[in-house]
Amino acid sequence: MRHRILATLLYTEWLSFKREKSLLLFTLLLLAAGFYGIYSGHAEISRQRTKLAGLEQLYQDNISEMNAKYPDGADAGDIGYYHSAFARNLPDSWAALSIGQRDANPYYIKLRLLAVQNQLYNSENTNPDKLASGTFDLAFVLVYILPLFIVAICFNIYSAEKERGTLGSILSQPVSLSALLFAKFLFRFLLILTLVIFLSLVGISVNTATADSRLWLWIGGTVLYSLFWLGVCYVIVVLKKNSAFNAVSLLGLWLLFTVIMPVTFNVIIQIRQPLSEGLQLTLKQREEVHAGWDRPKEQTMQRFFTYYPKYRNTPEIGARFEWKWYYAFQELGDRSVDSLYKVYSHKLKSRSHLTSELSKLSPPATFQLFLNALCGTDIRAQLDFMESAVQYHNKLKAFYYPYLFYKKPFLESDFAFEPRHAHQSVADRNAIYPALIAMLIAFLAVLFAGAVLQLLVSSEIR
Amino acid sequence: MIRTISQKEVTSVLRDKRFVLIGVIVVLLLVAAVITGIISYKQLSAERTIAQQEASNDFKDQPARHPHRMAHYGSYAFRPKSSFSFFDFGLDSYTGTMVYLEAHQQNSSNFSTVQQSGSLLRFGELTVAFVLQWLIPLLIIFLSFNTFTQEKEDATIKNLLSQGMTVGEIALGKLHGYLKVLTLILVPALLATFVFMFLANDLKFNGDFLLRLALFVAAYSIYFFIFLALCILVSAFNQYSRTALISLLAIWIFCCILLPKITANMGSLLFPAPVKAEMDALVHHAASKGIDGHNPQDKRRADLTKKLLAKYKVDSVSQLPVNIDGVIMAEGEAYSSRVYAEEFDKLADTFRKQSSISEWAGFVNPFQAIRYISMGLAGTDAAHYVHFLKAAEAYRYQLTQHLNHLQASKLKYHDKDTRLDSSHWKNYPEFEYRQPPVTFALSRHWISIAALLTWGILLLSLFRYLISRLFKP
Repeated sequence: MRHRILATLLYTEWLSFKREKSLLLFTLLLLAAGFYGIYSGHAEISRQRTKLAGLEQLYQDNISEMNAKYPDGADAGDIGYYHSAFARNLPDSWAALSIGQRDANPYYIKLRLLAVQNQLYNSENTNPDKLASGTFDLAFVLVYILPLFIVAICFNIYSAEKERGTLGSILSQPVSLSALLFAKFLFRFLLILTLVIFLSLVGISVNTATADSRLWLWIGGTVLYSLFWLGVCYVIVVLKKNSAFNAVSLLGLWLLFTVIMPVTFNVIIQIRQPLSEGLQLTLKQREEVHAGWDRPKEQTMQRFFTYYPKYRNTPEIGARFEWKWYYAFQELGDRSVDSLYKVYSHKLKSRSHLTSELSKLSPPATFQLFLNALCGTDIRAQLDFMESAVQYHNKLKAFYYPYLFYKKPFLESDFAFEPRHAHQSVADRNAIYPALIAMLIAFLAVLFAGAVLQLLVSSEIR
Repeated sequence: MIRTISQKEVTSVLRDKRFVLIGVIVVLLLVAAVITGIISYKQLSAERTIAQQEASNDFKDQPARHPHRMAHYGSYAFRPKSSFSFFDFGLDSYTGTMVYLEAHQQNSSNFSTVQQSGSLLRFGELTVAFVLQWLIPLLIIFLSFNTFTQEKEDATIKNLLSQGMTVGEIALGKLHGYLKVLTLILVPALLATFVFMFLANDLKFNGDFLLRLALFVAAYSIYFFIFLALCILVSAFNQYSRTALISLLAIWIFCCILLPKITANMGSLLFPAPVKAEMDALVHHAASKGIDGHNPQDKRRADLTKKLLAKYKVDSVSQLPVNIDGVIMAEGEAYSSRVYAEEFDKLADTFRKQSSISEWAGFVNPFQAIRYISMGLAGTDAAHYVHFLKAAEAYRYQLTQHLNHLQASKLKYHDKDTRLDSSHWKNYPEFEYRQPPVTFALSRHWISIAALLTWGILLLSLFRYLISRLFKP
């Protein structure tokens, strides 16, 4: 019996959905935004992939230039100075769905054998205006527009029937108000579910994202997030106020969760955890490297040999200038800021930690962090890449130092053995489950609040 | 009669507790934005001033050195915060803060806030401009969406019309009343803002400053007027408060959230920019092979040597009265800097083209017009950033050439050992960035200014006409 009533109510909703143009219009708008988001995210990551692939040509051109410049083999010191290689941060197959920080951070680092700390923070040619406006990817559609869509189709669930005068005739049937509300919400939930699953699947297949366990996490997270917003609508709807009140309150809540809270957290982070280590590190590193010119060569080499004892028995520096001495003080410059570098990376990590802690209060912020973590585009992924670039620089040093210290000429054929680098961004698994739990708690909280309010309101009426 | 209607609107708005509550929230946010803006301004400003001082002193305090070593030691340019930037952060969090200035190469400007923050920053920043551009329009919508629809629903509009008033006159009265309410809220808030500003900053009351202030107030007044007029028009057009409100909220979402992102994305898809590595390779290639490919570096050096030998009538470079090392270095720097400047101008032009779509969108969307005008006046837009980068590059170039000339005039040919006295660095002027005058900002955003003025003038002159055409009883 109860199932029959529910089925009838759902069917009635379906009929009125087909009749009411505004619902249909909102659905089409969401789909259009979703398709544009998928397209523009795909275009951005494709551009990055093309540029990353293009680096190979620049690398080969540089090698040809070196070969032309030093036809009979070179001093490896010259190669280290004039030749550059690239550390590359390849996007995950999911990256186009949520670009995250990939547009703001460089996705490759050009490296020479010189001190790495002077090269690690170089930035990319990006239009700051574009960065400030942000990307229109599928994640943006889900984080910002989906809640507006949910609000648009739910805000007048009750009030519209009342204002149209149709509520009385429905309630005169053997249907309770809660059953009616439940059916209306259920219908909308099914509609949202269909739309988000459809959009996600389109996005995933357009980008040929690997359909691993993240498929379920993506959809699960999106459904939880939609449920949270349905819950928020429920809280307002059960107050049984007019449509205008509902619309204003819901937009107000959207503004609170999606804009005001993140913006405020941001201020808290910037003020509580200021970050000037980057500037300090750069200034100090230059002093150290340049002091290398004036320090006694023997002293520099002895300090260097404590890190590389295997080169201890190589010939002493005799000439006014020798490359191995030059690179030795470059490396010592890096080592002198090692502790500052550690503090800097640690501070970046603790900023990111504080960010995710504060974001738990704002489901949109949590959901955005969740999507970025899932697609390997969050700040953590960037820090991993920077760390991997430092490791790569170490490999380059390990490759070039023997040429310098054992006086081996660097031949054209030696380029084939130069280490190469490609870091594959991966999902930040540690961030995924806490975010899901935070969204689940937020959903349960609004559901509870709604239920309590419904009880209060109905007892008031009685 | 118009005055009576105006007075009625003011009274009824001020009686509405919900409106007073929202007004208080907005004003509180404005005050919070001012305070955090000033804190962050002071923090970043101090950080950069100290760093710039340190970098400049490091350079000045160098002992006797070979000039070319000084050219490699180089200096730093830190971008000072514009004194108006606390009002509108603009793009400041998305631009680099320091450039390393050294011989032979142009480095990127590094350590932008966005690179050192997580995704939260991308949700926006709490600034005065944010409150004025985003939240005040919402407040205006809430204030006036039902101004006509309520009268229709209560059938009071018929009374007004039967007393011989035209719809246009009623609408003018309403406009007048709401402007008064907005003034009541905003003027004290803005006054408080400026008091905070004067307490926190030691600003000088020069003409440029006052002009900026006046232009800010004027531009935002036009912006609020546009929103208010649109709200009243929509309310006149709709029969129900509910539909008027939904339409206005939809317009707000479209203007403040969707369209800016869409046009920014379209811009970067339509006008792709080269990555830094490509640009560097291009500059390097053009500098070593010659801009047209027919004038390689070796040939340029040989020509220069020949010219100098002929000029001083000697037959070997060691007999020249100038040190050819320095001359060649200066020539190379001049050539590669010229190539770089060309490429940089192309890049800046690409960025301008990317943003021009958003600027033209101002004719459809007043939010985008005020956004650029406000950023421009605050000195936090892309044009000011490019201006800083060019100033940094100009300083780098002059410094390097100064050191090259020292090498050419004070050192002998192939002399790598002589060190010049430290006074040579002590007296070199430090990098001091001067923000361009307000005319710079205005000339860069004439599209947005035209868009905002067009909106304002059209609505002002056509308001009565539009209202009578759109009004539905």
